[in-house]
Amino acid sequence: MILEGNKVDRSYEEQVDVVIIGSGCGGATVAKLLAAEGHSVLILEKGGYFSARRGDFDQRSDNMLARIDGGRGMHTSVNNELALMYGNCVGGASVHYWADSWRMPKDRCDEIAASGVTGHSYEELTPYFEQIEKDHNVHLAASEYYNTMNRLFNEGAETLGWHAEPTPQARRGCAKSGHCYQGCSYDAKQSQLVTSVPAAIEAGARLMADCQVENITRNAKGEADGIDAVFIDRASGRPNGHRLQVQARIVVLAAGGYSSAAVWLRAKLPNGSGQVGKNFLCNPNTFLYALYDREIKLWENIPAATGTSQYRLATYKNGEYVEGGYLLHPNQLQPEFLALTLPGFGEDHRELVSQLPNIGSVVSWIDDELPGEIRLNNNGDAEYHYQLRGVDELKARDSLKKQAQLLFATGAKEVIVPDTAGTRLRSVDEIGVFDDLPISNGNYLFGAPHPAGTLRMGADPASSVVASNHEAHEVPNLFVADPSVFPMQPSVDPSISIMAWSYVAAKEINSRLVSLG
Amino acid sequence: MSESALSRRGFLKTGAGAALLLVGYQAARHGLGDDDEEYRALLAGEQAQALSIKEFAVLSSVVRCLVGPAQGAPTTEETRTAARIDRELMIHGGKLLQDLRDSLLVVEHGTFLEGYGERFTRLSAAQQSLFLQSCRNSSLDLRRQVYGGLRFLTMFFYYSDDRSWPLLGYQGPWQAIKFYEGGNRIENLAPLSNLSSTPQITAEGSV
Repeated sequence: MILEGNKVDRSYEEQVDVVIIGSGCGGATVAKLLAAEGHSVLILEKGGYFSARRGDFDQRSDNMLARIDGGRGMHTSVNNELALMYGNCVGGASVHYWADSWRMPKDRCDEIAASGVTGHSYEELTPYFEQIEKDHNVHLAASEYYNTMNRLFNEGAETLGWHAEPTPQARRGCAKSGHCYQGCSYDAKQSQLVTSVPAAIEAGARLMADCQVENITRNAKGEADGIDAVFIDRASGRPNGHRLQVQARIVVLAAGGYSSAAVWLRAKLPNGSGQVGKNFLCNPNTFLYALYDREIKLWENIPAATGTSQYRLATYKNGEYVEGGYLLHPNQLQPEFLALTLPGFGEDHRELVSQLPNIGSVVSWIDDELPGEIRLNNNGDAEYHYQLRGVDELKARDSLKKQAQLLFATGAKEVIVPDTAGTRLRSVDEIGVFDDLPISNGNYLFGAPHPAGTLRMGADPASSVVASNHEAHEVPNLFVADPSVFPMQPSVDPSISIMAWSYVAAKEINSRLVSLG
Repeated sequence: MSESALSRRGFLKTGAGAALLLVGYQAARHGLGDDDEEYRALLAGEQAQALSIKEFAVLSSVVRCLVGPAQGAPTTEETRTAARIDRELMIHGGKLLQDLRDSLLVVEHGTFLEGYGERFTRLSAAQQSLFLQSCRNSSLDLRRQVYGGLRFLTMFFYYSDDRSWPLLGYQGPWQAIKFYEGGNRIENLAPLSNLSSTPQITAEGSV
């Protein structure tokens, strides 16, 4: 059962075993597994419920960002350097992700284990990875799904002697429309909207959409015991006057890497470590455009059927950064966003957009290490403080050089930097410009699609927020199941890792519920 | 990076204070009220919801300048780009709305600090373009952020209008459009009023 805000004409009081805040990769996974164990599960989603069968995914960027994006496509960090990319709909960010489906690499699992986290080793996660890949039809795309940019990427990598590899895709019956970021109109992308959410509901879970949690309640012993929420009117984005109160034996916070810490802070939950909202990481994107003599049509077919992880790990010599620390993929933008992100204005911009079909692009996800912070402002709204710096800035600059190398290796006439100045490179000999190109202070807008770390997991309550069983150190019966708990970035697209970690969370919650009787 | 270094970088907030004061001084000195007739004449029949009349008028001028004229392209009045931005600001409120207000103040009256002798909306199209170009290339974070923020909204709302897509070589989506009650498309706007007609900019730039 999914109850949508526009069907709510009264306030509700509920009593359940588990209330889950958020329906993305974390919340939906936990809901599915706990409902299958026979527990009464209620999922609360701040955003709306949208469905391909109802025609909601109409492929217009304006309509779709208003429907499914956390900031309606307008949310940035306070310094205007990051475009925050996250979900606000049933299915969460998985509704707009690209379906790239990597397991957390073993080397990163090992690093996390070395930080004191237990129960999340590569070996322990492997059966979950296997199940998730099966449930989401993760596979390598056939050649017919490679768009022109994907094919050029492979040619360029071969020319440069780089190792390119296919990107595992969570799709079933892809229509090649290219409207992945706007939400799949064909239920082909295996987002949580079409996988774990319906599985949870089939197993007996209920879901309330347009429902914004305002508080996590606690009993006299300080244990989490429920939530208070309001229903939201979609047309205005404001409360519709009806409320929800839930009493629950377990509360699961799974509002996503951009929102869970904010929910915690608004609820004024204990923060003895001072770490709530800290350690904010986001995999900032760097990307470049290139002008070709041939038609590319960047917006067609699947975004990143291929890529290279050759530079996933940064390399150092004598303690000094050398190169790497990012993934490198073909980029995809729909024409409206491509036009928006091409630099300049007026006639110059018009001249560029008139060549839109001939523009290609590649993108990198920086494996960031130096965090920012999520804070609440005086209105209780989350603010995101982050600046790319130090070794992360070196990674970004190196990624831009590698991108330019690849684009020129594929026959690009010109490389266009989407910075404020609209810097252009005419040959690969000019890549030295990236050594000191201004990329901060509003000169370059990084995409920020993978928030993590703000409720980080660790053994020591003095330096972490949740324990290895996903339970808050200071709030018994409150579990966190989303990327907020990652002590460091997975170094790949995080969706499969979030789901696998949520399997661990669900197992621990189930044990707790059984022990509670 | 220290906390203080981060906090200095708040977009159009702390670091912008002095500049906004200066701009505000220029605005007060030139005595232009929100309900000035010249601003009303720039509304092109639109009724601002989130922005004031003055702010909407400045936004309309900025949008027109950023998109620029082109044969065969819809005008920003036809695409109702400023009204769509205003509608989006109505839904957001908060910091985005305040930042836009501050940005429009900087644009409208920042011209005096550059020696133009007139506010932005009284400049010729060429002068407006030069002023925005100077914001784009400015060494001041604030001015670049003003340019970036206004440009982002303008381009997004102009190029998400179906009529602009032929300019992009884009055939359009494969799915039929579905009205969204929380959307920001023309279908979500109130009908145009007949309060005033589309403003005409002369060769000298006077409205």
